[in-house]
Amino acid sequence: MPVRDYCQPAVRTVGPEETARFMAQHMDRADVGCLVVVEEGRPTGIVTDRDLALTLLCDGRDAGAVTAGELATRVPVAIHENAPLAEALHTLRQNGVRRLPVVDDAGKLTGILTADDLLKALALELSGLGGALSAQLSGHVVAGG
Amino acid sequence: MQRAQDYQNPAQTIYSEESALEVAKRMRHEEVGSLIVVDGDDNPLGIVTDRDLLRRVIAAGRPYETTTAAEVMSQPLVTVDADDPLDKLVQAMASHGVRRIAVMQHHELTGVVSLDDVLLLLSGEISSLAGATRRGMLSAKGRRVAHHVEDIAGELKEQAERLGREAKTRLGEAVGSTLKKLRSRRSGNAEPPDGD
Repeated sequence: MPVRDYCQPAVRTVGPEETARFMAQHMDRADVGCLVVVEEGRPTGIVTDRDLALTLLCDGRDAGAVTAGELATRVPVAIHENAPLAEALHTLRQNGVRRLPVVDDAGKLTGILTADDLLKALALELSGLGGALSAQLSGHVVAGG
Repeated sequence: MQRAQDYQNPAQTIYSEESALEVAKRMRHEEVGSLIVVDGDDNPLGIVTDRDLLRRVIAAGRPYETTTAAEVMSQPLVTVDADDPLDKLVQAMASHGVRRIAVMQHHELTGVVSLDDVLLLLSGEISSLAGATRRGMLSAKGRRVAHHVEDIAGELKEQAERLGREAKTRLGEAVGSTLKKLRSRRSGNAEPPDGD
């Protein structure tokens, strides 16, 4: 299964010039935990709710003055939408991140893949396997069938 | 049967009159995403998360130093008893739509259990199940299924260790129902393997 089957296409984006307050309100309204910073359609960074809140509060920064460009963690790597899921898992692990921007052939942002998306997919698969196991143990499936 | 107290971590607390600035500093210093808000007698009142700071301080344009923990915390605080079984804990997470539960004993806060903790436990449960198959307690088909489950358990464990603060209720529900299913299968069809 390719990455595009698991990622969220409705990724929320901001330009690098947007303010922290705008981003906070955007995350709140959209009920998302991060925003991807995009320049000319390409992902350049990620801002999470935690980074935004703790950086502003702890450093005493003005939410109306700090910009997305200043707050964003630079995107170290993105994943192609056609890449297999195993490659995405490997990339997540290797880079020690929980979110990967998903891009097309032109490097344009088409979605975001998060560790939570993968967990949900795995939990569903696990649930299905659990059901198969239950049926087998209950004798509903012919042994060896 | 594992109980809430077996999986709790020490609760990080903050007094209700402390500022949002102090909440943020404590979260950063302790490397946690939430703090239990307590009154002067250490009674828990609610929970404040980094997400609450984003919504109720930054987005709302409130001052960092004069806004209090009490003003930004989420209520009610969802609690379980230290002796409650894990199934009940997971159900409480799912029904309240939260991923952290305060553990109480004799009306006192003893710790916190997060969905991450539950996921780690679940992967252990599945490994135990796979152990049962290796001991020949299941048929050939059961073994094949369990080998798949074991692979997935490995992935779950990896991801659970990374899991941040965004796990949603749907995941809690899926984990809860799977855990329940595995427990009932194991108790009804195979003795839990020891040492796995």
